[in-house]
Amino acid sequence: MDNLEKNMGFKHILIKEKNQNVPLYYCHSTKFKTFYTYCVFFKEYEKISSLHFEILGKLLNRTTLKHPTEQQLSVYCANLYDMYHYVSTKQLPHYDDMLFRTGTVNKKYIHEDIDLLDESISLLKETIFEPNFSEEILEDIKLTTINKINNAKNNNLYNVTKKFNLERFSGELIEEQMYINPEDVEAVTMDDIKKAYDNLLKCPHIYVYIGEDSLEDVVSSLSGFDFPVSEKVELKNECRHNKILEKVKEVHLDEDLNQSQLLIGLRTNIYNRDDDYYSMVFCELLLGGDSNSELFRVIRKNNNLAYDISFRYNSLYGFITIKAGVDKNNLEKTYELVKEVISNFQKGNISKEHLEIEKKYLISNIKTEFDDFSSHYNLALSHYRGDKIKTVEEKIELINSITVDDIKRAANSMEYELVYFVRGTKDESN
Amino acid sequence: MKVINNTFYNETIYTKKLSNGLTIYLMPRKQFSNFSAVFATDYGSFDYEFMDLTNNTVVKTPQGVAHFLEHKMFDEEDGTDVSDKLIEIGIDSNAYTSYDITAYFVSGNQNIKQAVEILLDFVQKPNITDDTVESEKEIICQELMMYKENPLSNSRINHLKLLYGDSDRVIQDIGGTVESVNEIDKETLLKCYDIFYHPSNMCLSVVGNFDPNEMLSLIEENQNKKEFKKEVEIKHLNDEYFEVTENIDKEEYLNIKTPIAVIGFKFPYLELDDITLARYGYALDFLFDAYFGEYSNIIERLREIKVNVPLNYAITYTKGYGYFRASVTTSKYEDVLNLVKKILDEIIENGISEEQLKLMKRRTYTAHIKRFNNNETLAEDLVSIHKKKRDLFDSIELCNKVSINDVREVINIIKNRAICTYVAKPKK
Repeated sequence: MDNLEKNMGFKHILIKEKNQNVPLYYCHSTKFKTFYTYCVFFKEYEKISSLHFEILGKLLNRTTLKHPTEQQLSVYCANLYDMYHYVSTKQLPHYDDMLFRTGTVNKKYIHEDIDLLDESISLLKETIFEPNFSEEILEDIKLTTINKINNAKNNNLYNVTKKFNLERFSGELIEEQMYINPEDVEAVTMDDIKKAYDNLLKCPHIYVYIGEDSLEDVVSSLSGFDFPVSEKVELKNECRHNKILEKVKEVHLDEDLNQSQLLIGLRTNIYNRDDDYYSMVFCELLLGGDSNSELFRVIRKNNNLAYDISFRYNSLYGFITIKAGVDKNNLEKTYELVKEVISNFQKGNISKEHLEIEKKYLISNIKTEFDDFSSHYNLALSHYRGDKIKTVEEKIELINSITVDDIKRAANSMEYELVYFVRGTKDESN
Repeated sequence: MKVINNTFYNETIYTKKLSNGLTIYLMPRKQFSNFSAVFATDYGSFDYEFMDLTNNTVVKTPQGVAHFLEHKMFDEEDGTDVSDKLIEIGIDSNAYTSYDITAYFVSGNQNIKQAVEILLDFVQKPNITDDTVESEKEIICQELMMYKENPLSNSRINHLKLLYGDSDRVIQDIGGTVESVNEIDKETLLKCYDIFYHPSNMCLSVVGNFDPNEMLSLIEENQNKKEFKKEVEIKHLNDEYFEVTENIDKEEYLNIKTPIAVIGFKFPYLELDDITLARYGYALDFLFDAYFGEYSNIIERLREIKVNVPLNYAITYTKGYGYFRASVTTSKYEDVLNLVKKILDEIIENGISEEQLKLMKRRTYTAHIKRFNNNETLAEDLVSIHKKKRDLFDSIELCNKVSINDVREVINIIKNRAICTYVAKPKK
């Protein structure tokens, strides 16, 4: 039994398509009252072709040739016990994925004789192989995307955060992945989408099934799909920055906000596959994970400066963002306290007791992660990507081995990059 | 202990009302690793005014007391936060205040007995001092400010003001205002605590991997050790209902880039029993979903008028208040408002067919089944259904019983309503 199977009894087998064998990750679970089938495609990231890929995903999500209007497709799904039908794309540092997901309630919870597994796979097949290249719908998707970008500008907090991110990530991959350019969307044509579709069919793909149906039934329903032979894609999911940080940049702004905001950007060179990854996760937990964290304790509990202070570590791109909404007169004070807390960590002043508490907390989360569908799916994806799959016991052992010195080392990888002191002009506090 | 066993859904719920008045729901689910427990009081932001039935007087408190209490209940006697104690045993905790409920949550996969005891103990033992009340005011005021940045939600509140006026409970922030929060003191908090946190006004649900008999003994033992003040019988109050007799249109200029339009009307106030209220609630959902929801042709109709943004709509129908509201962010808002008015006429004129009703019921049934995938959701459902005096399975069945006649009845109720529109335009 490999580690994948030790995690929830996942079976990893190959199923026969017309032109190749493709991985199926099958998890027989009676825990949930619904089942889901996933088909995921992987494509190398490239700015414009990835935008086409994203818009293609939205087009495939809307209609099919058999159900050419949004309403027809929705009504069809609703009749099949609200069959879940969803196509989504995700951009990662070096590749994109497009996920097709269908599923609904398990057969035993309906009073009719409908083979819902069969219906779900048919819908999956229809969505992938019977695209409706409607110019009208493409135009709608483009305009909806552009309007969404423009309408977000109504929120001044969004505008300030965007300004902060654009300054911080200028010229980096994450900048183009974070914010789509409306002109690029406008330029997309149906030819681009058709080309993206032809490429999609050649992308490597996998299937994942989680539910009560038997392996034989799932294999038989999924076998025989007619995809061209897949091309290879490297699934590298981290982007190491090479920015040299010399001096932290501090920016003071007046913005039309009710509440003043402190935004602090930091970098780290620890990424999700690194040995120090868990040490950095502990930095996040100890500094800003919950009401027990150092920043929350100092900023909210001891000094009543903010309702909340967040500390988010992004392990794919190696950056940290700290955010707090504070009184306009307390921006500098809050920043000084944040610096003091982090500096203490970097010196190794980390409570062993607090570390043990966070270990217990993290272990508890690990033990319950498979009470959720998404963890099953992520595990299959991780295995396909070639990540080393750890059993729950191995993860617990690793967590228990983390020491204060490990966390100190991780904390010292953090470097300040940019700080925004945003004074809300409508901030009426004090 | 009453056992509600449903073989079709393969689920069992154990329920009991303890001698102190506390109602408990236990739903063991051994296939899951985790558990969730919710301890809730029938007390929310609406209750800043209520009737004390012992002397038939209306008690008035500053707005935001229920929410303030929620913040303070986490304080321990030694000045620490109880969530720290829970984290130490690997347990997550949280709380929220809504219009009509304040709920405290714990969840995790270990130390369930300890977690449930801590939950019962911290919610049943307030540690409130003048100093901590003062310091909490600053934090709550920052929280209130945080919610003010979203122009869409601000526009929706401005629209509700057209339907309900400036002072109705519905339009007040759950946390109160900066002014009302600053009026709150220790005495007010403790007075409201004694009234609303009496076990007879509360409900506890536990869902997940545990033994129901052991859990019941633990809860009973915990409760038997405690003494509670005498129960104060109260009546929740609603604001006096007033009819909006004429259409109202309001425009404002805000610091935004694209106009935001909100349109809607309020449902008339009816004295209904809980079952009829729930049936009408489903009927309204089905009716409006057929015209504005995922299964309608709303996307196509918006596209016809060259509007390529989603139209968000909501139906709220509960004891004391209810309204329909649709909102959109677009420069072509006038066309959208005309379309919504046209669709509202069609709803009254045509209603929905039997086939559409069947479709909507299937959809709602699936939504109910999906909720069984998550213990936290179920724990929350048990508490909210308790308030509606039904059990979980009855609730699912009730949706299947909604008939086309129910839909016709709600159409009769909502026809000829005055429609209010609110438009926020960018400053020139």
